[in-house]
Amino acid sequence: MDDELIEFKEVSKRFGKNIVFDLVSLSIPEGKITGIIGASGEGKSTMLKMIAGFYTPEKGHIYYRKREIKKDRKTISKIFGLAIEDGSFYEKLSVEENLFHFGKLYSVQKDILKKRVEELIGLVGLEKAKDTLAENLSVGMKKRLDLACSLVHNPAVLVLDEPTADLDPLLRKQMIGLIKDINSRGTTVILTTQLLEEAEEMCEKVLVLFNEKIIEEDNPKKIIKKYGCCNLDEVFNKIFSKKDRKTYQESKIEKTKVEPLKKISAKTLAYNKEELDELIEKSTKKQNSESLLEEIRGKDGN
Amino acid sequence: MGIKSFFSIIGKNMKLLFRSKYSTLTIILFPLLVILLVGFAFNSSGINGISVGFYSNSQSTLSTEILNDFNTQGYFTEKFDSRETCIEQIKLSDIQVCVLFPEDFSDLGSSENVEIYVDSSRMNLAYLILHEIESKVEYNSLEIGTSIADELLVSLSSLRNSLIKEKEELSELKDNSDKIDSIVTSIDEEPEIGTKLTKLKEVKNSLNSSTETSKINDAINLIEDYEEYSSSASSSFYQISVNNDKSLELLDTAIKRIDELVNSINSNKIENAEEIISPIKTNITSVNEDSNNLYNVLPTIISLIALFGGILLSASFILKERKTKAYFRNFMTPTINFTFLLANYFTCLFVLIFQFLLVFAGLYFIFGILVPIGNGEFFVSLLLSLSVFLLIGTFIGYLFKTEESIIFAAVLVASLMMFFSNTLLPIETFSSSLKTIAKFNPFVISDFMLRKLMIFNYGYKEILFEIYLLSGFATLFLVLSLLWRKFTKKIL
Repeated sequence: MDDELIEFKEVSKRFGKNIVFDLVSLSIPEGKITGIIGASGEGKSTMLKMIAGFYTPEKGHIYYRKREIKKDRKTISKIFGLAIEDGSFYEKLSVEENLFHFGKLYSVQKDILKKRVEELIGLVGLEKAKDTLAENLSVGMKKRLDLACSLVHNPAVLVLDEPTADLDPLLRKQMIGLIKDINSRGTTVILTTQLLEEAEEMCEKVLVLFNEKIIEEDNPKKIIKKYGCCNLDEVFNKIFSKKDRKTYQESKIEKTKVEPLKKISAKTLAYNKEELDELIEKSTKKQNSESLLEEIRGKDGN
Repeated sequence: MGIKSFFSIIGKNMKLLFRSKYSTLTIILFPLLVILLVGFAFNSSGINGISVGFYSNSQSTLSTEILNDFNTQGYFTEKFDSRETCIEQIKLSDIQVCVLFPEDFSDLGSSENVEIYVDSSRMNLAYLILHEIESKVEYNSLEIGTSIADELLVSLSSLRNSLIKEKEELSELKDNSDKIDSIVTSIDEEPEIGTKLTKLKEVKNSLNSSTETSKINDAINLIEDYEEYSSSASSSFYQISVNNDKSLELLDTAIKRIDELVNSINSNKIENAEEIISPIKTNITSVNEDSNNLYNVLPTIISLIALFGGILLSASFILKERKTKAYFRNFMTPTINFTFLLANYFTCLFVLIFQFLLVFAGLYFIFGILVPIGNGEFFVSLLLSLSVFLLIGTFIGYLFKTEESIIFAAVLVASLMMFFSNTLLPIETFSSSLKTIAKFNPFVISDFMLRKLMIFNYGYKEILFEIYLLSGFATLFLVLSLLWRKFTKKIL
């Protein structure tokens, strides 16, 4: 393929005894939005961090334009912009200060940086909040700030880990629009998501990560067609059928007895967090505190 | 290393630090609080507020004098009814020392010793009190001894004078005996007496042949009486002469002995009673120019602030950095680990220097003590000490994973360094192996170096060894911190 930007060749990664990938090979096209989907704990975030050069593989090679990433980390780091799920910025710095700071860490020239920061603030729609401390921003604004921080050095590849997680449907829609906008400006986007309809909507290529391997790597429509389904959700269910799930869980338990428990609890927490964020969002929309409390009590009662 | 990145990190660190009200307050108030507390605590010379308990079965003038002396010198004295109560009160820390005076304690001394009890578990205080109390009791005992010795010297002096007078009188007596002897000799040796006696014998012989019997007989009788008398007188003179010779011999011996005694008294040059009581005089002089406690403990206080401030500040700073969401992104940037490490080190260094400037200003304006901050050697030494402690704290910050373990390790390391130094107990009291280790304790080295500079006014030449050691420590912890910072990336 001519437009291959990133290539994995028989890459393996493990943390201690826990194998994350085993001999994975894949390719990511240039200038498109590529999505990595898979169940929780399959290693999607690890894969993104490896693409961005944060983790190095135990075995195999990762190439960016045929250049091995681990051999040229300093240059490669300027090419990638990575935004992780929890965000990565200073809570006690304002939006503008965060952008300027990270811009300087990426050695962006002063005049270029000034222009870039203005542009980015406009792009992510944080003009009014540019002097606000990050800790005082809403969840959606924080996501946008994190995205801006990842773009401050004008990377060729934007790597996003669950960019729409914890966002309400409206903010989610805004974020998808923003990602598409960034991609339309020539930036290659690689993202992970739990929401398959989102992947279907945004991505031109989808990689399905299952049981330490990439089992599907194609355009989402082609994958849907291949499995004879209506959408990716159905495909996912088909792949991740009850029988398979059982085999999958057994295999995971065999590898480590602690890991599945960790994942369950993390998932539960994420679910609760989502609910809580939703409530906070509502409170920012000036819902009075009493009704909010009632709502929380109601949820508790249920 | 990117200079822009370096300054951006320092700027960001300062913003983060000063945007937290509590951090700002701690940075400003902590040094002021330390210096006020330490300053007021140590701004004196000697020891103060020591409570002295005493027990005396029969109070004497001397014991009262000693206690009065304690009172006038700022000690609190308290009398107890029994020795047991007095000793018990030390255990309860109501008093710091108990002095037991013997029953017959008086100006003439005593058959038993004055007993002093202290709490040895408070070692520093025990040594200090023992020295002070002992010296005060000894001073009083010296006074008694001096007055007794004074009396002895006066008696000796009057004895010498009497002997000299006696010698003069004996010499006069000897002169008189000499005169008697010469008179007797002169009488005995007088030629006229013999001649006249011979003539008398001749007259007697001529009278024997004379006819005027009655008159002649009378004359003969007279002559014979004279002869008899002359013979008896001669024998008496002889006896006088013999006895006089013996007396002269005795007088000579007596005068000789008196001479020897006077010479012996004269040969003793001691004229001062204190010289008899304490023939070898000791004078303890401190090599420190300033006897103010605050100035003397200042190098230790500075080292302590550097130790705790350096380790805790940098460890908590790294902890804060690691806990921030942005820590991950820092690894994604092309800025190298060394730049982050150096920028964090300089941030902490600036904060500590600012705190030290506050401390030094406080010392100058409140206590009038000028710390030689302008002195190159002092500044370099302080900087080096701060660097070592900051880098130790940085290493701890990267070495441990959780908040609790980092803070616990930082406090533990700083406390251990303080324990194995001269701060609580002299390192000379440690076992020899531990003493050797303690000598390489960066806190001990820093304290020793600052002491040399501040108290003894030494220069670079004398602190070169300490500079090398601290530089070695700084390099070691810089390398370790760098390695562990890289390692923390793996556990993100």
